[in-house]
Amino acid sequence: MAKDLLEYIEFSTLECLNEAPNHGATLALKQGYREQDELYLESDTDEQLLLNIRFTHRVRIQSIVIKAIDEAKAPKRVKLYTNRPSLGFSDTSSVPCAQEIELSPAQLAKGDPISLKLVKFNNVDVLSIFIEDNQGGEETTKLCKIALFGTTGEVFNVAEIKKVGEEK
Amino acid sequence: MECTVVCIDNSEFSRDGDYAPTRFQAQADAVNLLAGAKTQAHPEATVGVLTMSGKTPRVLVTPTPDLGKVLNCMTNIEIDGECNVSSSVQIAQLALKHRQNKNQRQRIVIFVCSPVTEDKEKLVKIAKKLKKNNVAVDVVSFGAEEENQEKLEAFLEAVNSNGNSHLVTVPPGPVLSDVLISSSIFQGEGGSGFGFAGGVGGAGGGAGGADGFEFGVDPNMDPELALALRVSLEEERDRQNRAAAAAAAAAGAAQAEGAAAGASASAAEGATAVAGIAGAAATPGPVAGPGVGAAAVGGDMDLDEDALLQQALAMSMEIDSAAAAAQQAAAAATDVTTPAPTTAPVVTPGAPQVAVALPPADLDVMDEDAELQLALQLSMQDSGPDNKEDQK
Repeated sequence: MAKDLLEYIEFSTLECLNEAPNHGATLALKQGYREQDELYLESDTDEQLLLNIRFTHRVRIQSIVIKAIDEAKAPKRVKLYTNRPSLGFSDTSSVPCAQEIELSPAQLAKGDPISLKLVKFNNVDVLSIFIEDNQGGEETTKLCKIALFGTTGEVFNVAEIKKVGEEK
Repeated sequence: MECTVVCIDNSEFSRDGDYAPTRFQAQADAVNLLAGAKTQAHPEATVGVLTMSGKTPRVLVTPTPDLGKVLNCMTNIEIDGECNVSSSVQIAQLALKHRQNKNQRQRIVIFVCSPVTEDKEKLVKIAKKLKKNNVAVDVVSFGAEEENQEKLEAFLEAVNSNGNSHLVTVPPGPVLSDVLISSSIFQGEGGSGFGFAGGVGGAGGGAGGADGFEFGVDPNMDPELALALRVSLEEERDRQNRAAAAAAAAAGAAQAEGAAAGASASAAEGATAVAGIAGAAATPGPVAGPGVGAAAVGGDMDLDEDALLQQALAMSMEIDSAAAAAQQAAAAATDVTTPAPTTAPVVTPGAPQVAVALPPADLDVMDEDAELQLALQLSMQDSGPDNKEDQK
């Protein structure tokens, strides 16, 4: 039942700290851009990246996909924070994260969805993805796709109600 | 839309008089102008002030949209000690981090007129941290340019991301504020420095000063504002066209409409006598509308000034020549009142006005209005002589 949450991402307020000028977050998130491996998100000054994604609705996030083809520069430790608007790099050490993920090269190459702890990601307005370091300890981190899967909280689907009525 | 923290060099070096009257005073003037330009550029922009010298750097004004606070605090700064650029910048970054409106972009403007004591590596490290946190930095170097040039250039290169940061070096001689106004530090706001200095009325000036984009940097930073401005400009144009079309159709009803539209446009008062003046005010009303309400591109700003001048002229002419004109009007009272509504439309196609004539409810008011029309037509019409003959 999990669907792609791309349509609920508010791109106007999307913020990615430490992204390189021509390799921004939209290249990893947006439909079309993310499918192309040549269009990637890369970090700038150092290997860390901090993505603040705001959603138009409250969502329940069930899994996340991160794909990176450059093995050495692919992200390794990723921390996810929920509902902390404008998180900064200095906050990442003090604020408790909702979930910490360590990515393996296999997951990154194929872009496997990684399931998240449902309880923590139940009512998310703002998701912050903090990429702490990369696989090879390189100076910059590169990734080509980030996708989020889940459901929107209070969606009242009238069509479904009708079906139940008919069954009865 | 930005949140700017200005770092001021109030070290002993700023007592130097190589920039008139002192480095410190020149700096203060520049800061005042800069704060004004930033707040004019966007209604929600905030500016904060921090002093770099003394025992510790101190934030004198936390980022605020209130220009008055900034100007006020500039008068109370004392010259003391030596600058500490690194801790000042870090404190500025902290102030920006805790800004009220998280949608604002972050910017630090540093004024340096004393030798920078930190070494290049430390500055570059700080710069990288700023860049990582999406903070843009503008540096104004004056007074100790040669010593600082290399360090500041390295700093700028490290902090610059896609041209958002600038370094301006001002040699002694020219006025600091003048050099800055024409530099990229002010120009980054779309030349609103000029709008602030010479605009007619605050709104018209601030809105009309932006040359780079239509209505200012709206599409990038504030799409809703851009849309609202465009829509209101369209509405204003429509209203002008409708008003002109209504005036051209020589019908009393059309003119009454025009009076109502004009009255609402200028928020006219209730009294009929005053409404006569308001009627005249309504004629430049639709024209002044764009300047007051929506954004005004350069051409409209000229019209505003003209319109206001003419309104003032009309009013003063009415007061001055009231006696003389009253005699004229009284002599041909009945003749004037009826031709006035009909000749007025003949006159209007020549100028972007709505000829306003109140329904003949009160003869006295009618006379005032008629002589007002005469005064307006006399002062504004190129084809004046012909029309005057028509009326007489």
